[in-house]
Amino acid sequence: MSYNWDFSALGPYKLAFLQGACWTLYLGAVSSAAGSALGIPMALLLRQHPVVSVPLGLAIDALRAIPNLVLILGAYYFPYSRLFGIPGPSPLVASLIGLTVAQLAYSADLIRSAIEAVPANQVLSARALGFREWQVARWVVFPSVVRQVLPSHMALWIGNVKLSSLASTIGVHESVWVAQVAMSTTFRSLEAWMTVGAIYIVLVTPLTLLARRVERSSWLRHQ
Amino acid sequence: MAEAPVTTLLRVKGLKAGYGERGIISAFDLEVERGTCIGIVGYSGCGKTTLFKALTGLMPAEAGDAWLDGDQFLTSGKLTVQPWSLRRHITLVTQQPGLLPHKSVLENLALPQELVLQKSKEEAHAEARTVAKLVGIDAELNAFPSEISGGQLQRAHLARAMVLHPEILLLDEVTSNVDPRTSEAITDALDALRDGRGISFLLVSHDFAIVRKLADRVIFLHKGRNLEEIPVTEFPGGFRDPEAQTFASERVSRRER
Repeated sequence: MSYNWDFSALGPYKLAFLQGACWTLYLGAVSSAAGSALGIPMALLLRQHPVVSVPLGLAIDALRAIPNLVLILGAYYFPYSRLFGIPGPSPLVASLIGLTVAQLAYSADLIRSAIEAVPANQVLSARALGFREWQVARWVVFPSVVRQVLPSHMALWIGNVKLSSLASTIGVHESVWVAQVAMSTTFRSLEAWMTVGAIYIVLVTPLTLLARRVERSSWLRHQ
Repeated sequence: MAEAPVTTLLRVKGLKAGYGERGIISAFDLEVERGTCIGIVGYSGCGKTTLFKALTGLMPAEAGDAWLDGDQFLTSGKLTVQPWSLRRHITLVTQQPGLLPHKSVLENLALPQELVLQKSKEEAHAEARTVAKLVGIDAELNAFPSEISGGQLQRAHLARAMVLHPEILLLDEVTSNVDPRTSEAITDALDALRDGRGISFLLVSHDFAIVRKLADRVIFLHKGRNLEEIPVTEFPGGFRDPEAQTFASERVSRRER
């Protein structure tokens, strides 16, 4: 039993794989940034009156339960034109919506609990010194929340890069989609999947190393 | 030589606050002259913390009037100035140190000056060094709060309020949870601060020795009221109110036992 390796068959797809890698990174980066940024206002809403926070909390729990693939498909196949009379999003935008919403649900809850865990004596003594409310938020609450949520968020961001492969199901030209196309013409499936694996190793490993450094940084350890 | 006229710096009339809290303040009156220290003693839950929070707008008052240097800042329980501008003049030193853990001691002492007094970094650092020397933490300026001892932390916490030069410092048990030597260093620093800069203090403490050393007058706070006020020379034996007498003798005998 033997297998004849032939990566050269994938040669014509070199550029396509490179572009696919770029889209993978793009999907991961944009959904991470948007998910984290939108997590902040959501976290603040979760701390409001129960009329707001209870339904929002339930919605967030529901979103966390739904698989990312279903969120992406839902964002893409939602009957926008029939219900709202507007055209649906492109596969790229639908994928970004699905990935962002999934991360948003996690971020909002993490940030909310981090805000609640800011030591009360730090906030009280800053107020007692004459800090204004925005100064308390900027200089006491914000740094504390960032230090609490950064390690878990870096794990979410790495996860987003990998989950972006789901966008291939609706035809976004990222790495996995390129591999599928290449396979269908060359029939070199093992080589194609190994190429995709290598792309992810190259994209994700630096992030993992960075996350480890951040976790060990003295700034983060001084809690 | 004629004595300098004694001026009332803080006047509080009929203060009521803390409804629903553990310590309630009601019908509380107080006058503090510039450069003096008022010791406040009483049982736990007598309303000391509520008093301090209400005077700095950290807790709403329900009734009462208060003046700082003749300017009214509390009218019928309502603050008539922005709370943060009031706290520049009347600064509470909380019982628990609340230094920012991700900043060095030096940065912790500089930041409030930069934010509250709009000082430049250089000015703020210079003042931080001066005060750090005064309270004896100048060797710890570059350390982080997690790297210094509890006593040093308490001193840094106090220094953070001192660098702002408020007119009145409200000291809530600042020498609890520290060793006797640190307690003495803090007391000496406060003494120096009062003599050097004419700052007034309201001092809540369970430690009668510190009250005796720093205070000019001593108040017995009981059930939220200023039940009796005596000069420190008569403290703790000179209270005439029976409740105050019981409290003082219990404390003294407990210490002797």
